[in-house]
Parts: sequence; structure tokens; C-alpha cells
Amino acid sequence: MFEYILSLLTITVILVLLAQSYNLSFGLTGLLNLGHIIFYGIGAYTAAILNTKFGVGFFENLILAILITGGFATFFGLLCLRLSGHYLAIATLGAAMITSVVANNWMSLTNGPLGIRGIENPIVFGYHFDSALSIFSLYFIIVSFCLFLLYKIFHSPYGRILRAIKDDELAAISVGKNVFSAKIWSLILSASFTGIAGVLYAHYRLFLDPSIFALPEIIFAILIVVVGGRGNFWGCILSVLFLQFISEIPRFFGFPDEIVGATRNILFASLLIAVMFWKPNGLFDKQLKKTLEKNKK
Amino acid sequence: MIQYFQIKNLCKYFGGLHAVDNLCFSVKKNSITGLIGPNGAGKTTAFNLISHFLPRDKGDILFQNENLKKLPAYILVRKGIIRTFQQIRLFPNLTIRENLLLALSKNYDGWWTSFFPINEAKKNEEIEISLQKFDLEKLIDEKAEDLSYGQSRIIEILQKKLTGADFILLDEPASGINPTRLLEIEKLLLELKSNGKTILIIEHNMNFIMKMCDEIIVMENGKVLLQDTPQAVQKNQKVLEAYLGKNNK
Repeated sequence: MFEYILSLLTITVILVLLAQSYNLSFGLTGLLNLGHIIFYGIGAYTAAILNTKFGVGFFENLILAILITGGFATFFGLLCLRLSGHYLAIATLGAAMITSVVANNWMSLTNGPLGIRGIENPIVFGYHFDSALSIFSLYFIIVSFCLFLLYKIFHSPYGRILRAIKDDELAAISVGKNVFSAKIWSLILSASFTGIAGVLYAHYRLFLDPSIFALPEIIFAILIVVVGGRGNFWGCILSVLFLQFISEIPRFFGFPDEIVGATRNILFASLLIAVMFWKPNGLFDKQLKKTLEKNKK
Repeated sequence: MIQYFQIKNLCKYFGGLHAVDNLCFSVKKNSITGLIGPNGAGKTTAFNLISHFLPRDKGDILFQNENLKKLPAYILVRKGIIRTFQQIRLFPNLTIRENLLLALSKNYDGWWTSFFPINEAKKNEEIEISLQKFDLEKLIDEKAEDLSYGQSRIIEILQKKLTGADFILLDEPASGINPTRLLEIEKLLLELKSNGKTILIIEHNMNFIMKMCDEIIVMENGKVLLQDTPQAVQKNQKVLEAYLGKNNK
């Protein structure tokens, strides 16, 4: 049971980083990027390929994943960010589909649908993080540091510009803001943190296949941010905890393993629709505001 | 003579429609100039061209001896030309403080400022002083969407002022404003002028325009019909015809 809870917590910690980085570009900046999961996959594949084929270590993989996802985000941004709204959504969703096809078919690099096995657990300064508790502790520290950086970005003058862009791009230009550059940087930063989440995932699961790019993963990432409230830093973290709790409910009700996944997807999709209908600002919007106001008093 | 701001043979066509057609006028430094004309005369299109929100088809825009080529609109703001829109464009989900802070950080705040914020305390002080003049300091942490129309208009002009821009284009600042707020807007514009700013205003409120402006440019069918003092414009027969029709007596 203890191992199971630690496993759940480790995945939750990775998801918090994935969600919060997505929250930066989608939630804070308002980029309707449906292909964000690409950066998660690229981060994970970078770690998997470099580790299994070239023996590159965990920390080196983190740095390389930041550079590679950041570089890819620059290319992706220059290509897609001239678009906005629905056009951007369709273009980025198309990009996610292309990446999935590449991961499935480039056998020599990704081993296609068979996936990559034999990824090592993290080894840092000679210490092998192979127990559930040690991996969780390491990941908790790394993700906390990343969240600290993201928090600083969210609450900085740059974060203010991103929120302004989400509100009204034209008005942002009219006060002298370089909207395109701010959006590109938002995507690059967001992708780099997502790349880190991907590396954490690969070094934890020890196996990686193209299902990381699948549509349910994309929907799940969107769901986390929408439920938490777009651009809401703490709401996003609460949202991951809430959704992780919901996702485990079918298990507790004794659903057979083969339908647990499908039940989760139905639950998540229904929740996404319900939130967009009744709580478009997210489930944690008012509650959080009230708490903050109380704390101020 | 070198003018502070000048446009020469500016043209903008939408298919067969000549929205702005060989438009030429100049604006004197440290003046308030009105840009008037009947609906469809091309005033807002001219504003869009001047502020580079719309690409021109032909013509030159000269500002402080510099011929402004086709630049991104945000660069023009940094060069000192700023504008408002007919519809108020504040950031509705940001507080008044944030709306004004955005204007104060004139140049692009890169992501690196997340870790090295610059002069935030000083900027906040400047904002509070600006708001106190209009009894709006209590609203500093309210969202812009919660303001009344008149309050929003004042905040919008304050926002443009805080960017430090030298040449301010205002698109119908007096439209839909109650008389008390209108007096505040007048006070604000005169303060801007006394601080050395130059203002170009599009407006349909003739009392406001005649009272505030040093000079008025009248547009009709994308061209300048007349550029003169308010007194001369009021008496000009061509202007009366443009507004009221040729058969009017």
C-alpha cells in the first residue's frame, strides 16, 4: 500500500509540473495550444534515447531536454504563433498528431509502438535512486524548485504582460509591448519546464512508447488547467490533486482493470464539459480568492 | 520649415473605396489639434495608419524629423506615438494598478525581470499620485472591468500618459462621458499639454473640440477639407456643408 501511495504521489508531482508549465502558456498567456503534450513527449524521448543508447545520465538529460524542447518550441512558435484562437488550436493539434506518427514510425530512433525499454532510474552523484521513497523525494525537490521559478514568472512584470496579452493583444501592442516575442518566450519557457517533466516521467516509468502523445493525454493536460482556473497558479496544483483523486475512484469501486482507463477518460471528458459550462473560471476560483482575502485580513 | 508631425500624401484603399486619399496635414509641437469630419470621412483610418495598426498603401509619415517607415505598432509607441481607440481598451481582468504598471514599464519586460523586478515601488508611488488627482486611488486594486465608462476613459488616458509618449492620439475621448467626468478629461488634457505633450483628437462633441483645440483639421472623403483655428472652422461654409448638407441654410 505504501509503495502504491508513493507511486501515486510521484506521478502527481510530475503532473503538477506538466500542468503548471502548460498553465504558463495556455492559462496565463491564453495560447490555445493543443499540442503542448509534444514537449512532454520530446522531453521523455530525449531522456529515453540518450540514456539507453548513449548512457547519458539523469542530470545531463534534464539539461539537454531543456535545450531540445526549448529549441523545438522556438521553431514551433515561429511557425504557429502567427495564428490565434481556433486556427492555433487546429495547427497545434495537427503538430501533435504528426509527432505521434513520427514516434510510431521512426523505428531506428524510437523503436515505434514497441517503445523503449531499459531506461535507468536516476543516478545523481553516484547515488542510485531506485526506491520509491528516494525517487519521490528527488522529484519533489526538483519540482518544488521548478514551481518556485514558475511562481516568480507568474507574478513578475513579464507575467503581467502575458495576462495583458490574454485579455487584449491589441491593447498590449498599444502600450508598446512586443506581443509576438512575449508569446514566443512564454512558449519556450513553458516547453522547457514540460521537457523536465518528460525526463522525470521517463526515468521513473523506465519504459516509453508513443502513447505519451495520445489524445487522452492532451485532454488531461487541458482538463487540469481548465479545472484549476486558467492562469491560476495554486488552482492548477489543487486541480492535479483533485483529478488524481478522481482518477483513482474506479479502482476503489472495484472496476475491472481493463475498463478503469476508459472509465477515467469518460469521467475526465464529462468533467471538462461540465466545468466549461458551469465554472469557466475553474473550480478553485472563488474558494481560493476568499481564502486569500481572509488571510489578508 | 520642419514640422513636429507631418503626413504627406497618405493613402489607404479598401478595394474601390478610397478611405484615405492623398491626406496631408501637420501638427504643431505642444498643441492640441482636433481631427473632425462626418462619419466615414476617414478619421479613424487615418489614426490607424499613423499608429501603424494598419499598413498604408502610399505616403509618408514624418515625426520629429524622422520618416517613419513600415514599423511594428509597438515600436512606434517606444518612439513616442501612442493612441487610444474608439472603444475603451483597458485590460479588463487586470487591476487598475496593473493596467498602469504595464504602461510605466515602457520597454519590453523580458522574462528575466521575473527575477530582477525594476523599481516596482517607485512605479507604484507614481501611479498612486496620478490616481489621487482624479479621486480614483481607492479603485487602485479593482479590476478594470468593474469601472464605470467615465472612470475607464480617465484610466485609459492616464495609461497613455504614463508611457511617457510625446504625441498622443485620442479617438473620441469625450464620447458618452458625463459633464463632470468631461471636465476631468479636459483638465487631464491641459495638464498633458502643459507638460509639453502634443495631442491629436478625433471627436464629434463640437463644444469640447472648439474649447480644447488650438487648431482643427476637417476631413471629408479621405481628404483634408480645411485646417485652421476653431473660430475660422466654425464660420467656414464648406465645413458647414460637409456636416449639414449643401441645401442647409
